[in-house]
Amino acid sequence: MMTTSDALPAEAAASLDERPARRWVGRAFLRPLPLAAAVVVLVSVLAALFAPQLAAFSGNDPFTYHADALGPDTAPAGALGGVSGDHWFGVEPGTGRDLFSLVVYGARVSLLVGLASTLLATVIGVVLGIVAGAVGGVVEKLVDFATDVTLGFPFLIFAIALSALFPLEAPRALLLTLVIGMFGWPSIARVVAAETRVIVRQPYVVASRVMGARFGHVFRHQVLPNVASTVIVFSCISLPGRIAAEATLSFLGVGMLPPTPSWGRSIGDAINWLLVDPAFLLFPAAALFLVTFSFTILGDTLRDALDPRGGRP
Amino acid sequence: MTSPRLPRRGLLAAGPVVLGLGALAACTDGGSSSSSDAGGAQGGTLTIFSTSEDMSFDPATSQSLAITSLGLTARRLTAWKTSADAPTELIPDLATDTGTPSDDGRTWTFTLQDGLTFEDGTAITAATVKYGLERSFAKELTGGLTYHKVLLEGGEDYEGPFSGKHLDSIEAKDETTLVFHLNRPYGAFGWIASTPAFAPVPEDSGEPESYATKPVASGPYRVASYKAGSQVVLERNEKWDSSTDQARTGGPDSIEFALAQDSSVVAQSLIADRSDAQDAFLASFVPAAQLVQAQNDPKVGDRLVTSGPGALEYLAMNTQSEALKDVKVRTAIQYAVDKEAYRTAKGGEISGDYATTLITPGIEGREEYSLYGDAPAGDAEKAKSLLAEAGVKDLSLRLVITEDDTAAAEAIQQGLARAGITVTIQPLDENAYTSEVPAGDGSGYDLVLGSWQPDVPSPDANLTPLFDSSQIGGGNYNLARYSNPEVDKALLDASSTVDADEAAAKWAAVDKQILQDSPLVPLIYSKNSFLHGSGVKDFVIGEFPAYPNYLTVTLG
Repeated sequence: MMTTSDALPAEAAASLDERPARRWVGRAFLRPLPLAAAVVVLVSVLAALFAPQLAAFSGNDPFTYHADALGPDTAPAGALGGVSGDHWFGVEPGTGRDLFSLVVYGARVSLLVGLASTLLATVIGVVLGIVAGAVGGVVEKLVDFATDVTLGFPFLIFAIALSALFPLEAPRALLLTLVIGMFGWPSIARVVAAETRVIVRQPYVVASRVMGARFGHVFRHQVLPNVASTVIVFSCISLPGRIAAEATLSFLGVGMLPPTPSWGRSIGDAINWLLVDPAFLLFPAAALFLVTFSFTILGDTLRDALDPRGGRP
Repeated sequence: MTSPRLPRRGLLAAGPVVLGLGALAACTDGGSSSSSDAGGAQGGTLTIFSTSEDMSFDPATSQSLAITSLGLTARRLTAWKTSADAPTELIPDLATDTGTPSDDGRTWTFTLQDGLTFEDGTAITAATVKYGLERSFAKELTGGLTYHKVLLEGGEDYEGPFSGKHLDSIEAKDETTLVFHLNRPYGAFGWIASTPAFAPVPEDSGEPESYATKPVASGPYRVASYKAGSQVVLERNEKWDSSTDQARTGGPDSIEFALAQDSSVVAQSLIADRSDAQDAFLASFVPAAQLVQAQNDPKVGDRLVTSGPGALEYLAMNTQSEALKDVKVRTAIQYAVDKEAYRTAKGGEISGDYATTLITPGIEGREEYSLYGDAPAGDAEKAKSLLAEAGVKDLSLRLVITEDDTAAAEAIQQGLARAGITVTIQPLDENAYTSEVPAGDGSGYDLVLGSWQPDVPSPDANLTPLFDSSQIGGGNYNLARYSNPEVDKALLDASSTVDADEAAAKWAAVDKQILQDSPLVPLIYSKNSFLHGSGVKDFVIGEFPAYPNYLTVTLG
């Protein structure tokens, strides 16, 4: 984050010293696995952004039923769940909806909820972490307590209960983002608080406080830049978990509501069809796995590149 | 989904819950060997898997069909004899015959068999049948079938026996003679006497609320243990005498209802014929995915049993909801609905035939007609123009379903979306659904998926429960909350007509008259598919109803 523009030279230097030079970060991604992961993530982001165009390009949308693509027993006609030129991933059994369109549209929900909830969790976690670490005393105890409570809270049960209470007409993605984001901050807050505690005891921070710097200044110019790399890495590593959390809730039927396509819901439907039409499970599950796995690889790569202590052997 | 449950309700079970339960049935009971016509083997433990969490063995609150779970513990005045290739017959049960009418069908007399006893050895007398019927009027005990309540003279003002009052139109002349005085001629009263409320209940049966789990059995089984949400065990009632019972064979020594089961999981076990599922069957319908699997699995073969077209599955439109008050809007929905997608979601051809009428196939008085076009996929353009005529834009409706009906609900949602109607699906668990939809005040839903299996093979049982204004709310099944005084009158008139041909013409007319007001969209006449394990024999679905006869199932 911004360390250079309006920061004092001494502070900027300090934080730069602790971080590896920028070219290292780029280079870390040039190895095959991270590169492949980056490509997958890029593709999924593009798919999410251009889902309507992509689906239309295949000649389909995720809402239209195609009874003609199903056999008389309502399983898809043809091999591999009805894979054909018309339906690239085949069709959904029981409805005949185009599975390619469903998967592509499903990326929208997964990425949107995953990214937005990660952002929310990160903001809450960083603010609370830094406040706790820098102010200490009662505030730190309070934040610690809140962290413990949130960590100890049965997330899934709470999320299911909340979904039932939330009005059906309200935007579902927002609810999921809030629920997943609100439960995601404690780990970030803990790490940030621990780092902050160390940073605020550094001589240059003490000096700046002695010179009259207010909390806001210390927060923005001294602590934040120093915890930035940790925060980025932590967010990246936790992102796949949040995508999975969305899929879990949708799988359980309390996430995205039909007809909005969602990988989790498709996977939930596919379980029933597993023995008859395994391809129906394969495509959404593969999409979910590839995206979460790729984000995990990217997160690891980023950590290796940014974290001077945990360097690759 | 729900639909299966609802139909059952109608016939089988009292509530959705009951459904599951309903299915128990039959074996000969008693240590004594099976009765004369009981062909099946004796012994063993039959397991019946039910998705319900709860069951009621209280005849006053049960809508169980004469051939399902409640029939295992409770006998009624009359019973049904089902066979796969012949119409279902009405046969005597507790009574010696199926009732003798007099006074043009306003008075019905039944004579009980001699020597019948409850599980505790006390005699089953005319007074106990009377008491059982009186209980069904009590406010404390709701949810049962209401056919007899609207027929018995003075029934409309009667509030049950717990306050010490009795209903004089049920006359227990002596130990074994019962005379019923009706408020109008009614030809099919013998069938009504097979509904649960006609089961005997001893007067000292304890708290009315606890009877549902601690009934005093008159049938071949008694409730040995009851654990809600888990298991109900029935064991032989040694006091039951198979020679007095033509309807039940009492084959298995005990019957276990496994409650709160997942129908997909159970269906998988049954398809694989796992050892714990061999002497078992699934009370609810086979889910769509497993239905495909079962059809394609040679191991299953005739263990998958499919009924003929039975229940009507429908989309009810809440005629009291602001958005659906206008008959034009409801007509538009008739055209917008995609029955083809709905049937596909239900499992395709094996699951039913497209429906256009309200009276179901095989019932006397049904006339085939189609008011809203013949295309199963609907006519979205027509729907749009009707909506435009009605001046309705951006119609947004709430469709309430039970949790396992999601695929069917999505098929409806998709169909209506083609006409620009937005549907929000609200899945509820069974109990929440019951309190919100049949028992609610109607404010919680615009649309609801339902299924109705007539409780007796008469159009009266098709139409009155779904469209009579007295059946709105309070746990009843007029889910469209349809109230039309003319229809009420026509229903009463048709059901009071004793001449069969004349009645049939009247029923056909009222069927059309109702659908012109478009209170619901008939979707399919469902064919129900059931799976049983390899150890289960005599698993028969008659022409009516579309459910297996629990009372005659045996273990091979």
